Amino acid sequence: MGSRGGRRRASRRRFTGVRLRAALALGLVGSLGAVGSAAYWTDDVTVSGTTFTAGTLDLQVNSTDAYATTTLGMSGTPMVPGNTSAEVLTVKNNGNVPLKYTLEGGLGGADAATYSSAGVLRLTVVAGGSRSGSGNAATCTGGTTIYGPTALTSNTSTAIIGTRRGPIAAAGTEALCFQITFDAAAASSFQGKTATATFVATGTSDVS
Amino acid sequence: MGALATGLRRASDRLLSVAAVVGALALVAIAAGLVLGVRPVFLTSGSMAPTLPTGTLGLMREVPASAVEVGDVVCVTSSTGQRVTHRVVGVEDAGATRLLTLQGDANRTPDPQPYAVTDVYRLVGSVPHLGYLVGWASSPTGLLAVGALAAGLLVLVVRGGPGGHPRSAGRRRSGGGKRRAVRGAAVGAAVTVIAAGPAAQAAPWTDATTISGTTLTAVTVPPPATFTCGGLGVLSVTFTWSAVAGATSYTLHYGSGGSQTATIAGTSATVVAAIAGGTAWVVANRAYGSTTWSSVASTTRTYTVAVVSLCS
Repeated sequence: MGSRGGRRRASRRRFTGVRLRAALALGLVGSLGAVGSAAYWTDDVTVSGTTFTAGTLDLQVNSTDAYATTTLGMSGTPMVPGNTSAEVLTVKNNGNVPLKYTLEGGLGGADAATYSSAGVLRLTVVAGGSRSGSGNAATCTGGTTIYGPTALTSNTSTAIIGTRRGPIAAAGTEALCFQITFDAAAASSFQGKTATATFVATGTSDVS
Repeated sequence: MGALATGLRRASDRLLSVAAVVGALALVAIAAGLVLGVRPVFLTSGSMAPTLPTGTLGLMREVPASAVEVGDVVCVTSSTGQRVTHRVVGVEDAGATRLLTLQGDANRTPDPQPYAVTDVYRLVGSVPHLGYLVGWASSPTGLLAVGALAAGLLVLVVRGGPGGHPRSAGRRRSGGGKRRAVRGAAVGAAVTVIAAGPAAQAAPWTDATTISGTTLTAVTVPPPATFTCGGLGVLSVTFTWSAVAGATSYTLHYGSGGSQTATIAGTSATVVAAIAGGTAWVVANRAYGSTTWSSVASTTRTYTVAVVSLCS
């Protein structure tokens, strides 16, 4: 803006003008309208009515965010060749948006490599299955087998459910029966060997 | 005319001034964005919270993938065609393209798949909450309100202030051409903005749940707790051991260095030999269908078989 008296006076008049100010204010409305126009929402994102949802995504297993299995392990009563253990894990969508999920897992612990190379611990996952029997003779019955029996390896990132499964609607659940089998012909050298199976279920809100 | 009416008029006058300044700034910002190639994107979910909460307007500029570093926030398109705005946590070179591993700040795990990119939109600035305003303006209520406001402002532009500001009478008589030019420019800018509307953003959340506690321990077949030698006869020695629960047989090792073996169902065995000596121990065997597991060795005994046999 100029410092000469005449120009300054003219500027002030211009800025106090109702018409100009209204026009500039219209620019604000225009900006708003612009970003809210149809072009703004042409993406494949389903945002109904352009409302913003501060949604939550919460994948739970047996209603907790970090579940410790109770019957899938075989250590209280150590396993012998041919033993099987089973547990139903319920995957739950505890958030308010639909989700899909993947599952990965493998063996950790002192003797994971030993078990891994011999491939004597095998996992089966049965969707909708239920546990029958008890202790180290429990199995999964019914349902649809979606994985295995496949040997667990020491790579804990091994895909078990590699293709995103679902969607599970908000508050929805899916029961997965996990069964672990200790090879009936496992060598005597496995005596006292310990490994820990760990799984990670990852939910994503991207259900497309 | 009362003091209240005057006060109201002054207040609305000030409001108009504020709106004009904000409007001018918005137009300048949008013009600057167009010149600099900045692309606005709105985040419709909260996976980048608290850095970029839901409803944030993100300002993105396209850069070659080689310029991307770990820690940058970028906008990419997923394999399903969805746009994702997440932070770079890993960069891997794969020929001309780069593989970016992204993770939302609010996510406990990175996105399942890395994204292969050659050019990528990188975040250069952000305005929180602006998306909510735009979202509201796009709703039926918002459209009505914005429309009414726009109509009111248009009336002001065309006809000037109602009743007129003390100074506006003089102003209206001069400089009409310049004002029209400014007005035209403002409308033009608004139209340009409509044409270059930003793209919607979805930043998918991820949530990982760990399933632990599955400890798998194989059984250990214990050796017999005791292993003794007695019944020392002429040219014979008898070994006796305690039973092991579940054992299906026992293997007795004897002779020189335990080189000879005998499988025994019970818990004692007598070795008869010519004058000789050796070392002896026993292991328990347990059959499991198609495999048999054997325990480690029991206590070791040294013996001599002779006219008077000895054992210790």
